[in-house]
Amino acid sequence: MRKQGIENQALMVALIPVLIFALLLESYFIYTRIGEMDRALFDRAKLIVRQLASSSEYAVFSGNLSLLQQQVDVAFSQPDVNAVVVLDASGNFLAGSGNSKDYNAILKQAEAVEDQRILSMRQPIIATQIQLDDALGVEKAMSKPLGSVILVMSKGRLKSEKSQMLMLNILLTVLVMGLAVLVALRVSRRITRPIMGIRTAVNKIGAGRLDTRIGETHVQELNELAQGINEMAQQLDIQRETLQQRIDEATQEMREKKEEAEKANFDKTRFLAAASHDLRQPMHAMGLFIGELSNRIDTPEQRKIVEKVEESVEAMSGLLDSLLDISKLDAGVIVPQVQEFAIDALLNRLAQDFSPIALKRSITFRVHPIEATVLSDPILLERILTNLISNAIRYVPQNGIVMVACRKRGEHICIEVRDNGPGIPAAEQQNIFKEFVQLANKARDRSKGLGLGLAIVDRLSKLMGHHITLRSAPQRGSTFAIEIPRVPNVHELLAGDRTLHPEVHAFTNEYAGLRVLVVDDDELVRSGTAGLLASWGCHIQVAGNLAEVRQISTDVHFDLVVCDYRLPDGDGLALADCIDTHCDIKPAFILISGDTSPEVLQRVVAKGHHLLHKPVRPAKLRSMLSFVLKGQAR
Amino acid sequence: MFSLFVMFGITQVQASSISVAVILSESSGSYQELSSQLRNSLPKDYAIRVVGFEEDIPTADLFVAVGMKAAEALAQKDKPTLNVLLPRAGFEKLKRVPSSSYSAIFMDQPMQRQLALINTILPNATSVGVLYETLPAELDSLRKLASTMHFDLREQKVDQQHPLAGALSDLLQESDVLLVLPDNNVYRSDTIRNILLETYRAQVPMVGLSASYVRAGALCAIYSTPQQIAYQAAEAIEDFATTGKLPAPQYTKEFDVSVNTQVARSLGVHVKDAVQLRVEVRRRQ
Repeated sequence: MRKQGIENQALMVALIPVLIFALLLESYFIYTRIGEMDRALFDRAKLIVRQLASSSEYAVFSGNLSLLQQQVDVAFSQPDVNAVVVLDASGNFLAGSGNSKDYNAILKQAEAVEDQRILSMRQPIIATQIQLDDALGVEKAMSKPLGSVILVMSKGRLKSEKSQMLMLNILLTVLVMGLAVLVALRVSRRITRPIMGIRTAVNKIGAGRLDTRIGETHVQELNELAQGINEMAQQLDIQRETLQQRIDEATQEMREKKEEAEKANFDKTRFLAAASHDLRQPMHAMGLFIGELSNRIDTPEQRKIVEKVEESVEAMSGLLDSLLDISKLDAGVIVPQVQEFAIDALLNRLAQDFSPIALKRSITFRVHPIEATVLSDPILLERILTNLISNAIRYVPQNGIVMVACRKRGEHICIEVRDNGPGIPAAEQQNIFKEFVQLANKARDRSKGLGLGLAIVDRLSKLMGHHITLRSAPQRGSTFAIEIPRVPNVHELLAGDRTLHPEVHAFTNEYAGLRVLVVDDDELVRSGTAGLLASWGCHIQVAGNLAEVRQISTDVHFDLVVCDYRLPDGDGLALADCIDTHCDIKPAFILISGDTSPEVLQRVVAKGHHLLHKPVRPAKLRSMLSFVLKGQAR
Repeated sequence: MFSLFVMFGITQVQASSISVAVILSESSGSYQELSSQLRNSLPKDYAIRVVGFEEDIPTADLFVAVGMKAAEALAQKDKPTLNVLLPRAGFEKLKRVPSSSYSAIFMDQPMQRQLALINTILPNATSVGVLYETLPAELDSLRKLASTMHFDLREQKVDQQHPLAGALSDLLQESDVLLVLPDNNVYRSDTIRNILLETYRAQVPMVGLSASYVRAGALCAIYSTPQQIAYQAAEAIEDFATTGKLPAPQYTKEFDVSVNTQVARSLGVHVKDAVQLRVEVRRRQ
């Protein structure tokens, strides 16, 4: 069953009884009225014909045709009379009026004839009887009719009256129905309109417009409903405002914390970079001075002291290198030079390097290389492995075992650095990759390093996309495993096993050949950004303002535009609009702003662009770049 | 009064009661009235039986046939019969020779009496119209009387060429008065109204045959009542009882005149009182 609205149902409730009643009443009325009209015509015809039959008796008897004609004319002058004919006893025409065609046709017919068009009637003219009590006659002759009167009545007027009555009745019915519709609509609208209002309001509330309220209605029950909804909306509004306030506060707090953290991190990096850089010169000088000093020392005791100083300086230099590496990695200035190389050569070299140190500490050190070609930056990979091995050697107790094993794992080579050292509790396994975390060095013995080794390993592996896993448990040693993409050898290639790995190339060539337009009015920032992007392999074009951008040939196509939000002759959004209207293939667009006001952020987000806040760190820029380019590709 | 006294004296002298059978054509109306009047007028010792003409005829010394049908029924039987309440023409149609034991008292009026009435009531009338389909028996005597009484008799026959309405119309144009002669084909209950209307249109008065004509619209009529006929019949019966002979066929001695004053007024005829008229007619005949 189809669902009906209240209005339709109310309409039906009102209309169906009225319709049935009106139709019944109308049909009864029309039926009786038509019967009456027919009967009235018939009665009138009978009256006329009888009257004429009686009044024409003498005229027919006496053969007075002019008198008869007068009487016929009088009868004919009655309304609806089509024809009147008087015949004598043998059926001969005596007098008549009206359309001869009409009465000629019915002369032969007996008594009353009725059809759709006419009503005809025949009445014999019988002489009035006057009893003559003379007793003179033996035979009493039967009285014969003197003649007959034929009357033809037209039903035309009756018909038109009938149709007029029918039309009037139909009109009345329609009027009554119309009135019923109007009344029903009016009544039902008094109910449906408030309901519609409530529905609209509920929809609005559902869509989140909680300030919507429903007005007063004429229906008490609906009023109560509306009041309930109003209260509910009000409660929801209050709840939402409270919630929003809390979210805003939390967001603000988080933003502040984040900015603080970022600032701290930035400061730390800068400090480290500056410190390590600034410390390098005196260290360098110190080395030179120690060299010179050792040449001038003659006693073995002094020599021993100088050797110790030399060792300390060397350790300090190593530490400085590590610090510099971390800061460089954090600054994003290290770009991996990924290439194919034989892993076994690298591992053999490491075995040679670490074997003397291990021997010195009575540690069994073994390397099991395999013949394979990998895809990685050999220098950075060597650094990762160096850090892992030196860490293992450092923490393994005397007579311990450190082993470097290789094995193929599908499309990767898995290099494992295992030791039987003290192991790392599960709770600490995530922390050890953080800077300056050293589990077994509570006293912070500097000979055991600064605790930067695993931090560097973590950064480098992330930079190259190599996955590092740690399996360890206390007293059960540790195993660091790193997965490196493998290049299939000739046999594998011939077997058609697999092609080269596209994601590896995607990484290595991620931004190589990318055409980038850098727009910034600050010369230093512009060249810095350009330099950084160029170091990632991008082709760079620069512009200081919008005017300079317009001078760039329209033939040149860019994949990416990095633009300062505030420019001397407009803002970055103007450039974005310009690009949208002029470029068929739209480049990816990144806006950089020193302004952290929410208005700027809102405007940029409203336009569907991405915004970075100054100072932009290379890693952040890189991840944004990766994000927008992926979105563009999609 | 004198004769009554004489008759009464004779019966008393020669008292001889006879049996009388009264045969009725119909047991209603004037027939019934006449029979009961007759019974009242006859002496009490007469054995009187009244039967319908279709019943078995009882034995009797004298039969009284009342009406035409009874007369026809008795005409064939060779029995002493007195016929009453029948027109002269009807009696003559029976073809039985009147005798001392077969006689009649006619119900119609002699033509002389009729013409006397016309003379009395319409002194200026000269032409008298008569209408008939079958030749009336009275016509011969009427013709003679008319000429002696200086009436111009106009006759009109109704036939195929002259239908009733036309014939009447023609006749009325040349008549001063329409005298009704007994004819069942012309004067019938269903024609009388129109005939009267026609006469009225022609302003010709009609002289009818009975009181019902006058009631229907005739100017006047001269007729004998059943009582008058019964009285005369009782006389004849007593004669027969005394002498054994019936008197010869005769018209009624007594009569009444009836006038429709309304019609007279409509036609502009000044009429005298009916009693006066009767006296006048009796004097003139």
